[in-house]
Amino acid sequence: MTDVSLCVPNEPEYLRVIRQIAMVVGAKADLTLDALDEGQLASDEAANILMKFAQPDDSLYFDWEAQPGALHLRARARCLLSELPDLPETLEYAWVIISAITSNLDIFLQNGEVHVNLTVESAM
Amino acid sequence: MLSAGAVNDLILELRSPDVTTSRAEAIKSEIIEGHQGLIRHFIRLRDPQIYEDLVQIGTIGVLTAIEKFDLDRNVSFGTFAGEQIKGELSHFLRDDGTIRISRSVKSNLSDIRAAQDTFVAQNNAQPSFTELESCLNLKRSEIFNALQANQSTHFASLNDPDIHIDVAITQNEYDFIDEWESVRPAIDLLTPLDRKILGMRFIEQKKQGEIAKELGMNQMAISRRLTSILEQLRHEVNTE
Repeated sequence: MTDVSLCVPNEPEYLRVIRQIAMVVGAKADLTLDALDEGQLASDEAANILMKFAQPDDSLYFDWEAQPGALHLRARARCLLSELPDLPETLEYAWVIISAITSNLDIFLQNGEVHVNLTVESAM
Repeated sequence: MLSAGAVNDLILELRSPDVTTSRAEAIKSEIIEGHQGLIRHFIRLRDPQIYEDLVQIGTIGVLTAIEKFDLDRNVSFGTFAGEQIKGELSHFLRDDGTIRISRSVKSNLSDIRAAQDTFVAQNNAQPSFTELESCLNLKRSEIFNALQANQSTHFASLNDPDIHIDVAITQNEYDFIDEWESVRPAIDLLTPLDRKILGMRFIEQKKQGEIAKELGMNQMAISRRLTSILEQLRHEVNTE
């Protein structure tokens, strides 16, 4: 079940809104403050990944879901490419960051859309 | 840095009625140039987006010191200039719109930090949001505002104890290669403490709470610094 859905233009000015929603939904998931912080960072990085591959004048879609101790994000956008490149090589340090802060990360292309699905959890 | 005697001689010459305008400007430039290290020492945190602005603010501090320095007092120019630089930087950091935080938000931040520290000391674990909320007499929206303010404050106060933490780190302690190559120049500009925090989080894969415990800092301070560090890295990528 989705707690919050958001559709924004593919423009970096909306990152602030994305971070803020991630914080509020993360608090609903009762994350620790560091996981809350990383939920925002992961949402921010997911948005940056979408911006990199999405059509310039298109929209980005986000669905956040809170579960006890875990924040899930499903994000998508229409993709510029017909095939995704090697992600660690293309995203470089951003890949290191998003891989380190998520307990689950899945980036794939489906029906012409790039999807970023991820989970951030409080440390056990 | 110029010696105390050399600065005193230059100031004496500057205040002489015979000094020409061009010579006066040259003297001021020489003194400012000779105190760049002092200015950069007081800036400490390096955000490439406004670092040069802060150098300019520090330079104003040196100019004020040149004007006000009393040669008859038993204080070196460097000591006096240091106070002026600190004053100008504090004034700027306090008043500049990019980091202005209301008193109530500051107070809430301080309460959150204290509640978090107490919880960690008693339970040896980070509190969940609900646990933290139950220790505070704050509305949820006030907590969100404070946490957001914490992240948007790139520059800690010059009196912030965290800013004075000194860590020993060698250039090769963390293997910032391959995936980090595009942000290498920004990493090279980080302070040793920020470099250590970056390495601990993303190379050693430690959680913010663990880093805070190990470095004797608060998790919120780590959060603030990581936000600032990652913004610096992104800035580096975007300006390539």
